[in-house]
Amino acid sequence: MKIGIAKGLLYYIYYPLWRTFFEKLGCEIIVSDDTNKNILDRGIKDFADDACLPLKLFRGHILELASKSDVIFVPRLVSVAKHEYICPKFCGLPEMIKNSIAHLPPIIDETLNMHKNGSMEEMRGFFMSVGRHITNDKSAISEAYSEAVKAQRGYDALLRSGFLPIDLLGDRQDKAFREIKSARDYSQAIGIIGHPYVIYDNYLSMGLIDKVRQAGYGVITPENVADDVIDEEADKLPKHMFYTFGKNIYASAMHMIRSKSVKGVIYMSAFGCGVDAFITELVQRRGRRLDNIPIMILNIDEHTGQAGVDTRVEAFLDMIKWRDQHEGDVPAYR
Amino acid sequence: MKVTFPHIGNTYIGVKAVFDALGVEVVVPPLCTSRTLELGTRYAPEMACLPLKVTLGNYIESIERGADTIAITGSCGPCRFGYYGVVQQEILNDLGYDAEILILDPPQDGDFKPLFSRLAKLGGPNVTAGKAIKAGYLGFKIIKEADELDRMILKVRPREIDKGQTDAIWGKYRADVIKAFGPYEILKVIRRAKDEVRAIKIDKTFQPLKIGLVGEIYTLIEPFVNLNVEQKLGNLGVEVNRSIDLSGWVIDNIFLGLLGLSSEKRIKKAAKPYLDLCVGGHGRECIGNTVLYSRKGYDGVIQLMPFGCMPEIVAETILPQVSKDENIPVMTLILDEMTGEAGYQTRLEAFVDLLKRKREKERAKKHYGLLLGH
Ligand code: SF4
Ligand code: SF4
Repeated sequence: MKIGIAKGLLYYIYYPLWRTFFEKLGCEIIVSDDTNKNILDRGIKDFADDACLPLKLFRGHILELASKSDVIFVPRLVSVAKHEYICPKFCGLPEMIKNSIAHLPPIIDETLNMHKNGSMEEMRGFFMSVGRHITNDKSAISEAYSEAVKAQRGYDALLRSGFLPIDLLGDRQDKAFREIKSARDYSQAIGIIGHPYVIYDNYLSMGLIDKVRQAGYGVITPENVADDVIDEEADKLPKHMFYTFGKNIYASAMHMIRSKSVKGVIYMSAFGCGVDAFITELVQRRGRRLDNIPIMILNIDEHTGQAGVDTRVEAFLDMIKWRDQHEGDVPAYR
Repeated sequence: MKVTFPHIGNTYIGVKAVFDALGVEVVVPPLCTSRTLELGTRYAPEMACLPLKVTLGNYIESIERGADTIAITGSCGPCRFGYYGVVQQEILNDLGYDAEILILDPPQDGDFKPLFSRLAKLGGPNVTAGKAIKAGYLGFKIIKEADELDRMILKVRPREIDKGQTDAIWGKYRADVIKAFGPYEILKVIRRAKDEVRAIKIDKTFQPLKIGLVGEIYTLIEPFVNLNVEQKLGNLGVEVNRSIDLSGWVIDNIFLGLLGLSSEKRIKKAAKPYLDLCVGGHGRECIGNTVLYSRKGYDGVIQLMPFGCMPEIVAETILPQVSKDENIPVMTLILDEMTGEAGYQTRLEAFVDLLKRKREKERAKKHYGLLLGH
């Protein structure tokens, strides 16, 4: 059976888990192509204008997969942690896809909801139901799940050690350990924060990570920051931040600033993201009160051009270099 | 302590009564105006949803009138609403105001303590539980009656014989009610307006088009934000029904919600084929109510939402399918600080025309069918 997996949304976080699971069950995985203009245009066409860019893009990837797969995996990821959600749109993701695309192959749209207690049992239950779409052999599903969790742990460990999803997924994978240096191999680093499907999608982010690395800086992202550090920073908020990725983005930014492990922070946010609307605000206001480290917010939409992003990133990096040479006594903003 | 709160439709009428009855000093924010919106838009994040901006404007205008404590209800997701207070507090702090936002979150895992301690803080030392419950009951009763008045108006406006009569009564009532002090005086104003509306002469034979309003609660119930959509439609000869009102929301969220229950099984059931779980806000209700309006023979449905509203975007992408399956025209109106009066009116008129034509066509078809003996 050919299972379609879209290269969008949480692909960048969970691909090793999903892939191992399905492969162990004997499925062939079809991953959509890297994002390109055509995929994005197809996603946007005949869809709500005001939907966020990553959602439109995800829809484009599904349209790509429709003709190539027997089944498409569009899980309903309501919650992946206790008392947290990802985003209201993740709750209705399969419904939005099904009702806005005619002639789709069948969809695996099981629900994962760990909101109540964050228990891995929920996760297991979720995969048991997913597996049932493929086989009735419960022990095979269970075994595939264990293998998948193992693969995911390995992936997470690499992320925490300084590699990024773009180093580990896709065609760079083999090169990762030879050529791409992890953030620790650089003497200076820039924090790049944002939702994973924005900053790790080379098309959406206009190659931001590579660009910063080419300028000689290591890149640290929320995925590099350890869970307990995230929790410690997030606990300083007056109220529990109930969006998992919003929390990761906010807390990792605060950590980077507090520990002075970065020279500057670039927050990339895609058009229409309701979570970012709040998190950018918190990062800027609280980050500035914390320390004098430059923060730049880069908003991108479907009309953003490469040149515009390049100019802003270059100017930002120049400013950082200049500050460095002048012993950092320059205000971080304006 | 001087308490204030955000404007949301009829809330101020009930909330003011509660605080008056408790002897807590309260600053009712001035009714929303373009200044409110301008203040909010200036200081709020650009991509924040409209209700955050307008309510921020309310707070600033109340602080200017001496308020030092802002009471709001909260939630713990999945919608952004639950984090409004935190973001707005940061903004107020950076602006140099020392007003405190008190978020009344529903208890999680049955832990009522944080909620009760905040409520006690609001009431002050002289408020006993008994007093609070009585005041709360009166406040709820007032909101219920205010909502009833709203509903009467929706029925009468399209049918009135002397055009403009309803609007005149409504305008006077809005001005009077904000001046009234204490629950009993407020109730008197509401009831007087009800009598006046009842006395309006209507055309009983007129069969107006019927439109149901669905969508995000704030844009549905705050007339400033929806540019008086009910009034506009009513004056186009349309009978409007609003799927959510404040008293219904209070029952759901304050009474049942706090106990972890929720009502409206019917709506959920109607939404089920399209969306079988909560996506935050009123996304699921939006779908369910659209289905129900169609079954009740409404001519059309309008979805109202602020730009970027997450749950309503989920609904928006599903509605075209619902509209097709249920054979009911649906129009989505997205509101933000730039929404202009003229374009808005034009869209409403175009939609009403479309519904009129559809109704005529269907009547003709029926008539024709009868002639042929079907
Ligand atoms: S978190 Fe933001 S970008 Fe992601 S789906 Fe939600 S609104 Fe869209
Ligand atoms: S329901 Fe919509 S408008 Fe209300 S807080 Fe959520 S996103 Fe904002």
